[in-house]
Amino acid sequence: MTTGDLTTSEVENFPIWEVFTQKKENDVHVHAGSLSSPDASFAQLFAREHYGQDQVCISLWVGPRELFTSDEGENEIYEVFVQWSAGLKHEHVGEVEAGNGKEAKDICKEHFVGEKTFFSIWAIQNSKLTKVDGATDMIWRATTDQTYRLASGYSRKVRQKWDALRASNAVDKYQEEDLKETY
Amino acid sequence: MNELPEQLQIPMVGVLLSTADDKLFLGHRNSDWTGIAPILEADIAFSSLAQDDIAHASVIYELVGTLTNQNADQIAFGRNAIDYLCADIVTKSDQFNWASAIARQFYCNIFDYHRLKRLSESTWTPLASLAKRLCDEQAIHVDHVSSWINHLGRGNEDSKVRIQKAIDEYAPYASMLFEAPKGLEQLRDAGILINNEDFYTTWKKSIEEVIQEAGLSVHIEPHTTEGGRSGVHDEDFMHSLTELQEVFSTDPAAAW
Repeated sequence: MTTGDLTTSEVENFPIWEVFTQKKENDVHVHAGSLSSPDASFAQLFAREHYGQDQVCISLWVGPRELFTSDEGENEIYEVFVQWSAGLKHEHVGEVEAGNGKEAKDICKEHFVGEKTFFSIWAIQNSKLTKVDGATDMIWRATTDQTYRLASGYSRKVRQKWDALRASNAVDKYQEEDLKETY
Repeated sequence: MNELPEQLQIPMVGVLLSTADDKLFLGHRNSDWTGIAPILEADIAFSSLAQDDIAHASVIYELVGTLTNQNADQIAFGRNAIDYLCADIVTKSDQFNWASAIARQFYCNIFDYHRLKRLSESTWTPLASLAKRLCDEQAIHVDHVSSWINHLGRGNEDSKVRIQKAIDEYAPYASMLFEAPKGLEQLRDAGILINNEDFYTTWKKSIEEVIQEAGLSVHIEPHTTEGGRSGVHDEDFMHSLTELQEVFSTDPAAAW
């Protein structure tokens, strides 16, 4: 099987990257999702279009997935992220200086988690993160009406259409007809 | 200046339409890739950039509408072929060859960037401020497509051969972007648009920088015959137009 001219296995072997976005000043960077990309430069360009355009976004961080959970690493500043419970997204809690990934997570636990319960911690060397600052390198495009990109813009229109349909009882009639065949 | 003198309104409409038509048709063409680009993230990104181009076209049509008293949809979809002023590189079919799509995007995006930059120096304030904002967004498109050129040029032998072929194939169409739209001269003479002749040189230099960085080569000759900017279009354009007008020609008042 192919996707375009690339075989699936080549595409599947692209590393996975984790993307964090910041919606507005004073908000923390929150995990937005992941993507696959052959390298860091494409990862940040893809992230900009993918996670940087589905919501207002003023800053975006991208790093290789394997590093976030790794216990290895150099002596450096680490950005640390806590997932407070299963199902919640990792959010940036701060930065720590540490000798490796394990130490960074331990320090994070001590400084930022304390007695609170949490689900998991990610840590990554600052130098391994690609950071895109929307102030100098535009991410979210505010020039034109972008509401069609947002869930809110989409759902408002859909809701109007549903309301119009419901008002005309068309849905009930449709369902009646539809179910007649089934039962 | 906020009010454009009456005798300059028609020339201005020509210049604005050539700009917006390029973007509308390029965005429309690129949206062909939605769902089928070589990798998922490239698909999402290319679609997002295509949306941008159509959004840019739409705000420029709105500006045209302030001069012609029409709405953006009427202007975008309601004209005859001869009244569309895009250069035909934007509709030249890529035959679903990704390298071709990237080469087309590359020439057009860098052209758009420099064109918007020039329009942002207009003495007609509504245009200058709009072009300035669009130009900032256009820089993202330039980054994106330049990175593709670089990745393909420096990828492997196969990708290098394919992108080089596409760059060569689209080069003669690229210079068609420079056919001057009717009215440009008049607006320059009136001091509404800047008149510096190095537009072509500036664009060519930007193109060459990226191409060289990617280990590729490019040869562009200035274009001299009449084409899209004069309403003279090729078959690929006609095909795109029919597709684009499909809904509008059935129901001009359709809300979508």
